[in-house]
Amino acid sequence: MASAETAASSGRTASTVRPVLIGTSSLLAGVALWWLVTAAFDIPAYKLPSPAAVASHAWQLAADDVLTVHIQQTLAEVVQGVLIGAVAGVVLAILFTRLPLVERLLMPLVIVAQVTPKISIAPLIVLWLGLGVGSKIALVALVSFYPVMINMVTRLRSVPKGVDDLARLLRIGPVARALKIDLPYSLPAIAVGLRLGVLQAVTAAVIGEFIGAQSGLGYLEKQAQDNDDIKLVIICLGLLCVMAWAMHALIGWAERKLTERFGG
Amino acid sequence: MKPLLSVRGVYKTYTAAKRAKVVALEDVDLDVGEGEIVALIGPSGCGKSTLLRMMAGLDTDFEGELSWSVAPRPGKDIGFVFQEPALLPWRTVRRNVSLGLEAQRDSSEQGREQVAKLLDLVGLTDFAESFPKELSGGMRQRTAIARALAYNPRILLMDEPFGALDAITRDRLHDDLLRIWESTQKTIVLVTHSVEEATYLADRVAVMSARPGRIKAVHTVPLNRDRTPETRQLPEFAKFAGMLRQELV
Repeated sequence: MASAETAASSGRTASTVRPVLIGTSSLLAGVALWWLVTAAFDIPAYKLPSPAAVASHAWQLAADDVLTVHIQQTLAEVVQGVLIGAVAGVVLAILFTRLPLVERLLMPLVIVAQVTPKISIAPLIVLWLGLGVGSKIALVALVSFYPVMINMVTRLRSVPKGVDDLARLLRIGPVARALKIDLPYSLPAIAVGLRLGVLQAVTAAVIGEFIGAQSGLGYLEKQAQDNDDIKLVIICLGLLCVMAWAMHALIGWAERKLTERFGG
Repeated sequence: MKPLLSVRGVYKTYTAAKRAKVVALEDVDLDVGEGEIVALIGPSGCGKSTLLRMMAGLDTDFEGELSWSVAPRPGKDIGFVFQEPALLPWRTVRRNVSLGLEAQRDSSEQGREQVAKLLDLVGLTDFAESFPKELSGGMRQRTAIARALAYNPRILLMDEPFGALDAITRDRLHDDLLRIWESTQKTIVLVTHSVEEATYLADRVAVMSARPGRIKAVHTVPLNRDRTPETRQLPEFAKFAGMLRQELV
């Protein structure tokens, strides 16, 4: 058993290293292309600076510790918003599958909130909740609860009939049922919802910061644009990209672990 | 003596597509005695599973009467084995088997011993800490049987529990079930579509007909309770199974 596991894990290592290598070389090729474009077409630095110029500027800013506070701000908005959104999504999914009346009452509101472009709701939310972290958390929660809810509802509607009958037969109460059956059964689906939600969440946080904020990477990017500091715009963009990618990858990893344990 | 469960004049109709009324069960009478194994056999769609679900209290939309000599306590007196094992994949075999006790908030030493005893009885002691996906189909269904018995219900209801298994595994589970019955003397109602299964396991066999579902006849199996694989070779076995098969046509 142990040797089989070792063999399997070394096989897994080989099969994970390859895509990482390919991904890295693809990214490097992109940067190389960017550099070639700036060098070959003689594009002015105020439109598109070279990768080297951006990198040295980023190095300078990092040395001056200018970026940390903005990274922390945006990260805090996204993490808190996604957590609140996830909890709301889970609670709504359980309510919707257990109480059809609640679904009929609340679903229209949920749909309206989802079909309205977030960027058009953002000014209202910033007006109501202020320039601080609260309005961004609200925006993030608003976009991230939906994929969690929809995925969990779908999963809960496919609970095997036998499991459903068993819960009724054993008279497992609604709370115990939610904790012992529904929640563990839906964990893989919740993770899928979160993985989709977190990408929208970063966008929502940035939209909120564009509209009105005092710190955050979106705020910094907006400031940089107003000051024609294209290097800083690109740095902010890059950091947001890394942040979203890291969270997406982390949740993807959790999703695989949860599917292994709770799926099937 | 009053039977443990008597079914009297049970009717069930439901509305199918295009508002057609379908009579699922018509005037069903059946007695189930304490400690008895009764098999319900019939063609698919004869309402045998529906009848079993009524006994379990999972289907309450019917006319007629189901009366118990001692009313079953909700969530405690009925063990049910479904066609599919319906195990929770994130729980080990032991924790799946304990689910009923857990639902009753029973964390007693006796409960734990009962679980251990049942795991032993179904031959899964070595797999107690395994997860369902690591088990074969037969082992999963054994887990489901142990789960249904763990809280010591008065009656065990089984809905085609061996239908999805291969013939060799099925035969082995038949013997397991007989062994379980010997050591627990549980009342068992078993829904099946196999005449051999009904003959091998049951004391009495109720033959049902389809559309409308009704009980055509109830036969006592002419074999003594000591049944072993050799029993299947007996002429009485073949004769009785043959008679059941004729009745099903």
